[in-house]
Amino acid sequence: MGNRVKGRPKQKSIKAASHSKMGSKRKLSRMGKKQKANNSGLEATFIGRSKCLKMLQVTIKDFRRLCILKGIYPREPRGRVPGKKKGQTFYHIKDIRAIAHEPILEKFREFRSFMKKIRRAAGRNERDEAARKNAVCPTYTLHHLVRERYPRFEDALSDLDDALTLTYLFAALPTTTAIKAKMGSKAKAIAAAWGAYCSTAGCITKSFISVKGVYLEANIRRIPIRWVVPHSFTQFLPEDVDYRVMATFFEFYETLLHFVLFKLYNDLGVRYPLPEIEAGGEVKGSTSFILSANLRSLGNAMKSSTGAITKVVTDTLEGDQAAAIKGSIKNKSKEEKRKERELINTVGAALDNIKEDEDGSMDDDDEEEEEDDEAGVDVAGPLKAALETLAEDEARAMTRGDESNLDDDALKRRRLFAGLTFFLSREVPRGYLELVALAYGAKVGWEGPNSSISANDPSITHHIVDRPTLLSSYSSLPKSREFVQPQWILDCANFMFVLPIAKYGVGVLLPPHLSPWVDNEEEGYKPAYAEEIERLKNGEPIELIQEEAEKSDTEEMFGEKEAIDDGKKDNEKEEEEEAEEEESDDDNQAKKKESAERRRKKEEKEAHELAKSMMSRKAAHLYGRMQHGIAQKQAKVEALSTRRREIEHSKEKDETGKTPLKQKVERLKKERKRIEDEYSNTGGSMKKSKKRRA
Amino acid sequence: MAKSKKKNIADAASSDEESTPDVSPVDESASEGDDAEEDDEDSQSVYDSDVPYYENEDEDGSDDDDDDDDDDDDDDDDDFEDQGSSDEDDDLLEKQQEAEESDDDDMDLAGKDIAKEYEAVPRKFASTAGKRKVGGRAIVNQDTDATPNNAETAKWMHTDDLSSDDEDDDGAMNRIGRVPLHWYDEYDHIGYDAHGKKVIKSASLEGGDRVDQALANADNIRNGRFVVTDLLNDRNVELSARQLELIRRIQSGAYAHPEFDGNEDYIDYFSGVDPEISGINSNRYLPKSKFQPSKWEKLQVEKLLHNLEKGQINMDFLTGKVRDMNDVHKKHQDKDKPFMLWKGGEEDELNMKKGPQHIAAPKLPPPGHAESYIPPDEYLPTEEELKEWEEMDPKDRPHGMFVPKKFPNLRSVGAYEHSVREAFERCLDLYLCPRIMKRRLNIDPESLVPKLPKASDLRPFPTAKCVEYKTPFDGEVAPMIRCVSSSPDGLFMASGATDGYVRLWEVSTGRLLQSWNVSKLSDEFDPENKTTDEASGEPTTHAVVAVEWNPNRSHHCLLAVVGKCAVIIATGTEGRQDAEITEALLTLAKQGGEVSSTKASKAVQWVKAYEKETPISSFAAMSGPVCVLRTKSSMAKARWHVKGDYFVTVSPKAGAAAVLIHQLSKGNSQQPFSKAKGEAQAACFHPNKPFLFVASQQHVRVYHLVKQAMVKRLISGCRWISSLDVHPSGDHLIVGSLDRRVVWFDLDLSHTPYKTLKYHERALRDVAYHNRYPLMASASDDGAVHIFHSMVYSDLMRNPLIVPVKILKGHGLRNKYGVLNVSFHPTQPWIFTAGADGRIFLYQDI
Repeated sequence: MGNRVKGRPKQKSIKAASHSKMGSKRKLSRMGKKQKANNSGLEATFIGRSKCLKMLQVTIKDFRRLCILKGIYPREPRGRVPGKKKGQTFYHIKDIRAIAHEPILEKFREFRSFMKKIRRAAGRNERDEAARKNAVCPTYTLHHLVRERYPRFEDALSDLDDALTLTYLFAALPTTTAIKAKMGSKAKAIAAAWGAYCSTAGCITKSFISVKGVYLEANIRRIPIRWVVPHSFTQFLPEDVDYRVMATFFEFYETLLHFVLFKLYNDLGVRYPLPEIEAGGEVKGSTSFILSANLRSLGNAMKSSTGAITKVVTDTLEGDQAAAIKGSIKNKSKEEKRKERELINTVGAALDNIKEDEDGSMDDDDEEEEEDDEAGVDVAGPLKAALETLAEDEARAMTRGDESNLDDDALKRRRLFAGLTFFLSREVPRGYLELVALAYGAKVGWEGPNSSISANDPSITHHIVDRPTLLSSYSSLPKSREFVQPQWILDCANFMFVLPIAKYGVGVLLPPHLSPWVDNEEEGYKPAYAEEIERLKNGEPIELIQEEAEKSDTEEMFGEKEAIDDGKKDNEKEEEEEAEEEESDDDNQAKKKESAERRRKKEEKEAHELAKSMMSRKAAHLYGRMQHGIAQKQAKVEALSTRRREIEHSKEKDETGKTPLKQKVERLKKERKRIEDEYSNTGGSMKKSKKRRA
Repeated sequence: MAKSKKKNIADAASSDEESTPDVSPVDESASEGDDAEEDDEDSQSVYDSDVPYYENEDEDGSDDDDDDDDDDDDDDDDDFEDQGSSDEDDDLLEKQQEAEESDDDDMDLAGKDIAKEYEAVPRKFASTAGKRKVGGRAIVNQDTDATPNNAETAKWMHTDDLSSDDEDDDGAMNRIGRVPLHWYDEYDHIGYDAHGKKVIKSASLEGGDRVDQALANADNIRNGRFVVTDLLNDRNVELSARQLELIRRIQSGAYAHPEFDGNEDYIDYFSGVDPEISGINSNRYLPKSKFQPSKWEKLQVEKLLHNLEKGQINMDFLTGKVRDMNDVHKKHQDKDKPFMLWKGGEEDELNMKKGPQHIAAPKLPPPGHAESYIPPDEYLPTEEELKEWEEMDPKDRPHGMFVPKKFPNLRSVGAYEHSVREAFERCLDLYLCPRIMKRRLNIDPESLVPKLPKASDLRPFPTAKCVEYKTPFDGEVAPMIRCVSSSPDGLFMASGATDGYVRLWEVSTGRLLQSWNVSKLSDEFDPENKTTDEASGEPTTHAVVAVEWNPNRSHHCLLAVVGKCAVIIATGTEGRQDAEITEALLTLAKQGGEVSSTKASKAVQWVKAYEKETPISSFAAMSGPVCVLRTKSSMAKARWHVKGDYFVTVSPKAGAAAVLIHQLSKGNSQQPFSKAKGEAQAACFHPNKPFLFVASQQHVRVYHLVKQAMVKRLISGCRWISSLDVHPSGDHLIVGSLDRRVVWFDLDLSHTPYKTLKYHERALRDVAYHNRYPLMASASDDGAVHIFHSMVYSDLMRNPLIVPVKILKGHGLRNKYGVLNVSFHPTQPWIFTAGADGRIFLYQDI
C-alpha cells in the first residue's frame, strides 16, 4: 500500500467505484465489465416494503404516515415480476429516496427522542418537568408537501374530492379517543369556509341527495370537485377501522384545504382565515358560526347561521350590513349602517372595527359574535375601491356576489332562482339547501335566530316544508307563498329549470330524485321522469302531457296495446301504420325496393363477417371483449326497461279496478280451486287424503 | 510462689492502673465531669436540632448527585458497625436476630446457644447509659467494685491495655521473645526477665494436674471468673470484666474499646460563638430599609407587568410553567398559517420535476340513479336480486355495501351506516393500492375490423348455387360424397361417395353419365381388402376417399382411391378418334404393370382389371376400370402430376411406404422414402419443378425428387394438417388443418407461415387453389365454403393479396361433417362442393 507517491491524490480503488452509486454503472460498462446483479432492471427500480423500512430505518407506523403525507403509493412494476415476488407490493426506489430526504422524517426522529424524555420525566413522576418539556415539543409543517404534491393550483383543485369528503365526514363524527375534539372543530371550520366560498362564488353545479349523503359538485376554474356531505345524524363508528390512518390523511388534507382556501379567498379579495377563526384559535364559538355546523344535526343546534358565514363573505364584498353589532342588528337603521360602512372604507378602520367588535362581543352570546365578525373581515387594499363603489348599491339582489367575476355558466345559474325567496322551515336541513339556493341566486330565510327574513315576510315565494301536513299556524301566514318539499330545490337546480311545484307539494308522494351525473344518452336508458322533464323543458304544456298520459291509459284500458312506453312510441307506431297503407298502393315497387334493401343489408353483413375473419388474433380478441362489454351494457339497459314496463303494467288497472298482479293471483286461485274440485269429483280429495293419513 | 505471683499479677493489673502517672488527671477529668456534662448538654441540643437539618441537606443533595448519596450511605453503614453498643442499634440487631431466628429456627440451634451464653456475660459497657450521657462517672461507678479503672483511665491506657509488651513496667515478666518454650523444658525456669533474672517455673503448673486445672476452671467459671494461663510467664491470669468486654467487642467486630466513639458528635464551632459578639440576636435596631418594600423588586414587577401587557410573556411564564418565552413563541410560529402558496408560473417548475411520473388516484365514480333516496322504481332490486346479492361477496355486488332503497321523503332518510367504513377504505386504497398507468382503448370496435377491398371489385368468383348433382341412393340417407374432381376440359365431373361408387357427371346439365362400384371391384381384386359387416354378413363397402381426374387434357382417365386400393378408370370422355393417346398411356397398366424396384413391389401391386368397357355415349370411347393398385394399408389421398403421367398416393399408416409415386405410362411404382417421418397426411407435386410436398401432421416437407433430398421443412403451427394445395405458380402453398386454421406459405419467404387465418368454426376438410383465377377455397365441417380472392403477384416484392369474398352456405351437416371436398372448375370461376349430406353443388358466378 505504500506505493502512493506523497502529494499525489489518492486513487480510488476499483472496489470503491463499484460500490459508490455515482457513475459506477457507466464506468463498468465502459470497462466492458460484467455488471453486478440487482444493479438494474426491476430489482434496482422497485423495492418491497420491508426493504423500504430497512432503508429508511423507520417503524412501519412512521412509514405509513410518511407515505400518506407525502402521497407515495406502491406501483405496479412494468416488467415481468419474478414468480416468487408475485403479489408483493412494490415501491419505486426514487419515491423512497424522496422520503429519505424528507425533513419530516427528521422531525419524526426528533419527536421520538423527545417522547423518550417526556416519558422519562413522567416515569419519575416529575410532572412539572414533563409539562415544561411538553412546551418545546418538536412540531412540523406540511405546506412544503402541499407545494410538492401539487405544483400547480389546478392540481390541488383537481385532487380535492377526497379531502373534502373526509373533512365533511370528520365534521360530522362524534368525538372519541381516536377522533379528537380539536380535529372535529377544525374540520367544521374548514367545511364552513369551503361552503361559504362555494355559495358565494356560485360555483355549485350539481347536487344530489343520496342515501349515503348529499353529493355536491362545484366547478372551480373549470375543474369539477365533488364531495359528500353526510346526513346530519350520529354516524356509526365501526370498531375495526383504524382511525389513525384517517387522522393522518386529515392532517394533510387540513393543510391542503387551508392553503387552497387561502388562495380562493384571496382571489375574492378576502383574507383567510376569517378573523373570528383566527382570533379564537379554538373553534368554540364557531360551531354555531360555521356554515356546515348545520349539516351536523338536522334540526337541533340549528340556531347558528349557515347564512352567517356566507354573509360574512358576501357582505364584506358588498360592504353591506357591515356594522351589525350586538343584538340590535335588525333594528338598526340604514343610516347607521351607512355610517359604519364609511368607517370600513379604509383598511385601518376595518381593523379597528375588528378590535372593537371583539371587545364588544366578549359579553355577547355566540350568535352575535358571528354577526360581528362579518364586519371584522379585513379587506385587502386593492379591494377598497371596489368596496366603495359597491357600497353605493342598495339592492341586494343586484349585488349578491361579484357578478362581474362570474363566468357565463355561473351567471346562468344565478338567474335560475333570481327574485325568489325561500323560507326554510325548522325541520329542513339547512346547510346544503341554503348553499344550493344561494348559489342559484335565491334569497334564503329560515325559521330560527339570525334569519334576515321572518316567516311572515310577504316577499317569501316558497316555503320549504318537510312535514306530512301543514302546521295549523301556517294558515296565518301570507297567502303569497307556495309550500314545497326540499327536493324541489335540488331538482330545479339540477335540471336548470324551475319545475312546477304540483309534484312536490306537502304530503305528496315525491317523484324520483335523479342523479345529475348520469348521462342518459350515454347510458342508453332514460328514466321516465327525465323524459317528462325534458318534454316540459321543450315547452309542452303540462296539461298536454297529462292528457297524453290519460289517453294512453284509456287506450290500454281497452286492451289495444300491451305496453305503453311513452307518447313518442305512439307516434312512431302511427307512422308505421301509415307507411303500411302506402305500401298496399304500389305493392310491387315497394317489394322490389325492400328486397333490394334487404339484399344490400345482407351483403353488408356478409362483408362485415368476412372482414372479421381477416382480423389478427389480438384484434379479434379485443373486438370480442368490446362486443362483450357492449352486450353487457345493452343487457343492463334491457333489464331496466323491461322492469319499468313490468312496473307500469302492474300499476295499470283494468275495468274492475284491479291491477294485473291481483288479477293473476285471482286467476291462479280460481284455477287451483277448479282443479281441486275436479279432483274431488273423481273421488279423492287432496285435503281428505291428508286427513286420512293422520 | 505461684500464689504470690498470681496475686502479684493481679495486683500488678490493678496497681498498674493505679500506678500510672495519669491517674491524677483521670480524677481531674472526673471532677471536671460536671462542666463537661453541661457542655455536652448544650452540644447535644445543638446536635438534636441539627439532625433534621442534616437530613434535609442530605435529601436535597441526593437530587444533585446520586453518587454522593451512595457514599453517604456507605459511611452510615460503617457507623452502624461502630455503634454496635448503642441502644437503637442493639435493638435493631436484636430485631434482626429475631427475624433471622424466626427465619431459620432449626438451623442455628448451636449458634443460638452460643449467643445465649454470650449474652449471659455481663456487658457493663454495653449498657446504654454509655454514650450520650457520657459518663465517665457512670463507668467509674460501675467499675468501682471490680477494678479501680474508670473510663478516663481506660481511655488513657487503652493503647497499653492490649500490648503485652508494655504490660510490665517493672520488667518482671519473661523477656525471651518468640522462642519455643520447649527449649526450657529441661530447666526450672522459663526464661529471663528484663533484669536478667530467671523466671522460675511455678511448681503447681509445671507438673500441673490437668484434672485439677479443669476443675479449677470449672469452679472459676461458676464463680464468674475467667482465668487464662499465661504459658510464657507460667501463670494464671484472671480476666477482668473490662477485658472480657474488650474480647467480646473484638469478636463482634466492633471497636475494641467501648469508650472509642467512631462517630463523634460534630461540634459546630460557629454556633458556639458568643451571640453578643456575632450581633445576630443583639437588641440593636434594624435599619429602615428592612421595613420598606424593595425598590428593585418593584421595578422588576413593573417590568413583568409591562411585558405581560405587551404580550411578551404570559401567565404561564409568570407561574413558572414556561421557563423560556422563546419556546412559546416558537410554538406559535410553527403553526401552519396559510399563505399564498401558488403564485402562478409553476409550469416551468413542473418541467423541472424529476422522479417517476405521478399517477393520480382514480376518482370515485359519481352516484347513479340507484343511489338516490328516491330512485326510479326500476332501479330498486327485486327480492331475487337481493337474495342473490346476499350470497355474493360484498366486493362483487353491484353497489358494494350499498343497497338501493326508497324513502318516502327527506326526513325519513337516516345516517348511512357505512359512511365511515367507505371513507376508511378509500383512504386505504389511496396509500396501499399499487398504481399503474393503463391506457384505456377508447376506440370504436368497428375500427378494429380491417378494411377490405369490395368483393364486387374482385369478381369473378363463385357466388350462387347453380347446379345440384343428385346422387341416386337406396335406403333412407344419401351416401356422403367424399370427393369431387372435374375433367381438365371442364365438361365432366367425377365424384366418389361412401357407397363405394365413382360417378361421372355432365357438368352443365347435372346428368349422371356413368357409375362404377369400385368398392366391389377392389374387393374382387384384393381379397385382403375385403371385410364383411358383422351385422348383415354382407361385405362392407369402402368409401371412395379420393377421386382425381387426370389433369392432362389428352389423357382421359381418373384415379379413385378406395380402401387399400387405387383404381384407374378410363373415362372415355374423349372422342373415338382421340382415344389412341389414352390407349397408349394405359396399355402397360392394362397389362398389370411391372413394379421394378423391390422396395416398392413389396408395398404395391398392379392388378389388371377385367375388360368390361361401356362407352358413356355413342361417340365416346370405351370406359371402365383399367387397373387396380393394391397396397398394404388403406389410402387417404392421391394426386396427379400436372403432366398426367405420374401420380402420388398417400396411405398414412403404411410407415415408410406411406408415400408412393406411380408412373402410369410404365405401370411402375416407386417408394421414395425408406423411413417414415411422421404420419403423412397429404402429398402434392410441384406444378413445374421436380418437387414433392409431403404433409405430416404438423409440418410440410419439400423434397427434391431428382436429388432425392429434402429441401425445406415448413412449420405450419397446426396440430393436425388435413389438406394441402399448391398454387399453380408453385411458389405458394396453403394448408388446411383440423384445428380450424388455414395457413398460407410463401415458399420464397421462409419456412414459417406468411399468414395464418382462423375463421371456420369447425375443422377444415379441404383447401384448393383455382388453376386460372386468383381464387382459393376452404371447406370445413361447419358446412361453409369460404372463397378467397388470392392474388399472387409476379413481383417478388409484393405480398400476395388475400381477401375473403364469399361464404358459400348450402350444405347441411351430418354426423358433425360438413363439406368434405371442393374442387374448382378448371376453366371457369366455378366450384364444386361435396357435402356430407350427400349433395354435390356447383357454384357459379352470377
